[in-house]
Amino acid sequence: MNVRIDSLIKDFGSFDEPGGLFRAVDAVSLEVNDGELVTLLGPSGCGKTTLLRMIAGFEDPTSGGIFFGEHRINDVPPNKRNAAMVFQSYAIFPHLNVRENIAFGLRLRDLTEGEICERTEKVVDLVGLGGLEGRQPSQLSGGQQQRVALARAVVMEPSLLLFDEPLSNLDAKLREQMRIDIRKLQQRLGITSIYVTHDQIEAMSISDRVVVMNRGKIEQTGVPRELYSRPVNRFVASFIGKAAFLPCEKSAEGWTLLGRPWDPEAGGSLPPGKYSVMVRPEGVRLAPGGKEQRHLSGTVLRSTYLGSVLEYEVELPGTDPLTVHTPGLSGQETLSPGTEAEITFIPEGLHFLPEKE
Amino acid sequence: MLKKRKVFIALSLALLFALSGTMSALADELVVYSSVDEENARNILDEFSKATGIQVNMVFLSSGPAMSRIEAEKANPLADVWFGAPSENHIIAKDRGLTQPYISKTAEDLAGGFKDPEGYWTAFYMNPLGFGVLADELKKDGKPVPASWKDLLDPAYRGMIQMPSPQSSGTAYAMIMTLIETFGEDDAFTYMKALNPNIQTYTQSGTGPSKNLAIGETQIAIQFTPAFLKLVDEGFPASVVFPAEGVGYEAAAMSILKGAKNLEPAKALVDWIVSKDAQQVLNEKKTYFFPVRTDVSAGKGLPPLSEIKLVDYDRIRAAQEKKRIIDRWVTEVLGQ
Amino acid sequence: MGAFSKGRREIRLLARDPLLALLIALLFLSLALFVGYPLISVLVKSLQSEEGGFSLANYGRFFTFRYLRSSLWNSLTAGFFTAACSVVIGYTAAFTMTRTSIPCKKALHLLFILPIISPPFTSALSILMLFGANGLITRGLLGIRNYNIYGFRGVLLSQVFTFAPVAYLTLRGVLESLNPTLEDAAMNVGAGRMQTFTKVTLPLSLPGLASAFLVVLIESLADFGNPLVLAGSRFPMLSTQAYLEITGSFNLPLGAALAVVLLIPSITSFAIQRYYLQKRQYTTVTGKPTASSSKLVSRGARRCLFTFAAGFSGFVLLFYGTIFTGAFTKVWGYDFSPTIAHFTYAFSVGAGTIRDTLIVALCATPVSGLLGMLIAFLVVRTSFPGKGIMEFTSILNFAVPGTVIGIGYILAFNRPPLMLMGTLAVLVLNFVFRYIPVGIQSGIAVLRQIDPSIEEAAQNLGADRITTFRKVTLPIIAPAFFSGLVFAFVRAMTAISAAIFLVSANWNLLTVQILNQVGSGRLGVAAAFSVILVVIVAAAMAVIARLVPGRTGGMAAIRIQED
Repeated sequence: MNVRIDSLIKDFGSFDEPGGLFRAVDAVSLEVNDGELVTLLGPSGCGKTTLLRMIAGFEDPTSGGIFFGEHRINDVPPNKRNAAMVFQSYAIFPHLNVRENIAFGLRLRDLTEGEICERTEKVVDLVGLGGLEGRQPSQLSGGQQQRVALARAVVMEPSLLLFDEPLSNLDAKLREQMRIDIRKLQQRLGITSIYVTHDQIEAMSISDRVVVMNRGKIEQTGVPRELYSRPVNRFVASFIGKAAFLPCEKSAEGWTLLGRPWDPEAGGSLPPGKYSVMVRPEGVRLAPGGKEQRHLSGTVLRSTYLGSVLEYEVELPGTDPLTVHTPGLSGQETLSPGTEAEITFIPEGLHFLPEKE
Repeated sequence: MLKKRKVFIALSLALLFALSGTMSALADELVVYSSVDEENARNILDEFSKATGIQVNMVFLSSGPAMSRIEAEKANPLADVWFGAPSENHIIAKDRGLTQPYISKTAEDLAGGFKDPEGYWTAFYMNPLGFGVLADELKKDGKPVPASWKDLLDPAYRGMIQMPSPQSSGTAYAMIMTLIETFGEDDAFTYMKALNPNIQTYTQSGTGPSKNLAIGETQIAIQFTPAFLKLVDEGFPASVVFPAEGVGYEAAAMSILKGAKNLEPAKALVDWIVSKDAQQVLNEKKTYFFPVRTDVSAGKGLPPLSEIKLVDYDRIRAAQEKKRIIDRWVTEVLGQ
Repeated sequence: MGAFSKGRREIRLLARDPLLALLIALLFLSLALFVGYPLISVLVKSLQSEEGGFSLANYGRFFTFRYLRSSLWNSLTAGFFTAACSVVIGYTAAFTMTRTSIPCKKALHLLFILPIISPPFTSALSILMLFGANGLITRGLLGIRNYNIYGFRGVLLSQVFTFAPVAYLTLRGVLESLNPTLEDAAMNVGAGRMQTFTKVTLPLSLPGLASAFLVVLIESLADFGNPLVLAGSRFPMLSTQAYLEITGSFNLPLGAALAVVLLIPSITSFAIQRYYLQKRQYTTVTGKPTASSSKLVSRGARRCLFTFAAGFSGFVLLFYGTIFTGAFTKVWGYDFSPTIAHFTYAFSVGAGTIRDTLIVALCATPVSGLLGMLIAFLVVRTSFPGKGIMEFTSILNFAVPGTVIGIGYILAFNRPPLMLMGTLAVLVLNFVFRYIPVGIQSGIAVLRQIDPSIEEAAQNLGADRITTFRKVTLPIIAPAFFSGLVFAFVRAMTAISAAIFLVSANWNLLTVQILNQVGSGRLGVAAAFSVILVVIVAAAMAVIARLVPGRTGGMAAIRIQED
């Protein structure tokens, strides 16, 4: 089933109430294709959760339409939408054991006991909870509870799966494992899914497409690679990964960077004008020495060993210090603070954003 | 688990309802508001049930609460008969249209003051008002035994006297009327104001003082005398004192409530209560009430009426003045 | 405009769930009929003269008649002193139980709250027996003859005994939810024990203390049984005077006016307590009772506190022991030979009453509990126009003295269209709506602790609101529901102030029966009835504790373990 959001607006409060009007979702339009996993990504307060809750039916849109397939479902109550949700707090029923938690939704339908049993068992295996069916929620670990929440949603064979930051309460290692499992499951079952998170690594690793939101609006929609290497603005660029923006300009004579002539070996097709060039830490090469005029150079301020990379902070004249990541096994000697370094950029990693006058 | 519990509760409720339902009268029934104390009322009414086969459902209410209850229920009376309370209360009830007349043949023999000429109420016993005194205890404390109303004002008795509360008890009102008859209204109120510091508490019910006397909570109790006489008869270290200035008395009466649902049984009670047999019951059951029929003598343990200086007061006037007098008492005596 | 559009939106949402809308409408109707209508009747009646016309004369009497002013003054004085003493005792007891490690805590706790499960005037009865003119202690032990316990001291003593446990329960909850880590932190930076107590524990307890004070004040003002027994000749009190005016002098308008006057300090205290103090409670986010740190209390202090706790429980044992003894001995004060005559008498005159009381309590309790939960659910989880009014009306009965409600019911249901006087219904209805606030309060507290996403999850899986309530909310709040039931049952069994107006020839209540016996001076029989009552209540509580797994003594904290 595909989902279409058409100019959805959600306001909280009103002009004459204390606190005034707060527009949480500002005319958002979005299409989710059948079988796709689309992630809504953004900082807290950007409206992603509100949007998800409107799709689930727990909030009413102020205006705009939500369509499941061809049906406009704005007025359909939440218990009739067949859009199963995995909640951030898991929302497992504390008074029911694992099996009964999973079977809860099934029991509300006209199914025989046999059918319920069969489907529940299947899903238990699917999420890897075999052997734990009889346990009470208080006896489960966080990861296990998460699986129960997942199983409970999946067993409904819904047309749409909604995920509200389901992994935010888990520790880093578990999170990594779980997101892989969730993605595998979703692909296997082929259910259209909408996923909300503020963790960009999570978003990037599991989504077919990512929607970056900020202050109620969509900043950019696209596949992860596109968002990472071709962000449309600074917000998206900084939100996904680290980025530095250096002022540069293209004229008939060529490029200048920080006032000095520069050959980026990229951006050839761009019209002349002022730009900000986005530079990611892994797109910078450092080499010791070189106060030669033709190269960009800077002083190493600090180096930090992060395991897989060495992170340098390099002072650049005329702009903020630049963060540089060098692979740990690059073979290069560690540059100590105070060293002069020659800075070059990998052309494929450069991305130009026009500077507004 | 929850379902089972619900079923269990529902079943038990149903059972209880069924049980209570079957308690409804299979035989003839009579509902009585009794201002006669429970024990005596039960004894008397049990005899009535035995004699007539009529089942009696009784609630005890002091005359004040009884009157209020009857007035409150007048549109839909839940009781049939008001049994007991001094006759002036029944006169008030008659004036307020709460009762209905019934002239019983057996009441023909009663003297004029013991029945309403139109049959709205009929008296069935009388009692003098006096003091119950723990004479020995008083002597132990070096205090004199009172012999008159005036004696009670002695500061030696501070906090040692109990009497019923005029706000709820007909007994207390009879006492006030006696005082008014003996001393005149204003002097009576001066007296009662002066008496107040000696009063330990004004009891809710008319029989409270005697009970408290029996357990030594108080040394002097003012009440209609049957309870005291009973104590003495049972060998209790109490004595009965009839005040020298004058002894008031009550003629306790009964009336049939207007709109009574069980009219025939109610009439049967009136007929029975003033019959010779019933009046004898008063003695047999050791109520220590004085009979109202002249052809029935007072029982054992009762002093002959001739020895007591009885003071009568106008019952009809007492009925008319009750509200004003009680109000005056509350404001002047209680509100000091 | 804003309010209307919000209202319209809410109605639209409601329209989608017709069952819910119907439920809300029915609740409004019931509340209006059984809470609002009686109260308004009292107000209207108080403004009538005896003939029926409009008149302020009843209120005018306060200015002209001394005894009314005295009644008001006495009630307020007794109230304040009772509240003050109760709070001190209750706080000390609560502190002892939550911050020290003394032995026999469970037993002590049970003894502390024992007075709550008996009729409020039981203490008056035992005080009479112990400290009266022929009291066991006054005359028997100390040889004081004719000691006069009536009046202010009797009322104060009995009320403190009756209501200190209430303060204790409230304050215990306050201290339990105060994180003792705060005290540890204070000591960590150098504060001494007394300093920690005065600078951390006490200030944080202050809203709770004020709250408890007001609660006891309200209870004391409404208290009817104790003053009726012990006020005596020269300490008239408002609650009993209102009763006497109505039942004694049949002056309904004046009685109603007195009731209204009684209402004013009660409602004021209630308003302050709810809307001002509750916002300032310094409770920590976790609802769990946390283990106590015994470093706050020194050895010596611990010994003192234990002595205090033992002392108070000793008093409780004494008072109840007295009643028990009085029930089994022939004539208190004179003849201590054992007898069961009182019980025989009690059963002969009172079997019907016992049955009646049980029926009323058993009918009223579940209805009250369920309605309370329902309203709590609506208040916390839904929104509809007039929600604030529903919440307020349903808790109003908390603040209103029983006397006032009793009078209101007489006035309201003694004439068409609803002639309910003398029936079982009027008693049950009175109890249901009187004790609904308890169910609502505990329901709200527990519901607020449940993660709302649990109910959303149920809806998400296909359950409508009612099904969600039935299959998810109700089972989770069940423990709190049952403790609310227990409370309502206990209250129904021990209520007197409203009940005394509503009994009839057909339906009598144990508490009224006990008072009658006291009033007639039959202390032994009164004691016997009291014993019967306490046994029934204790048995019921034991049965419920059996049926319900888990704690019924407090709020179940719903928490899912997190890594």
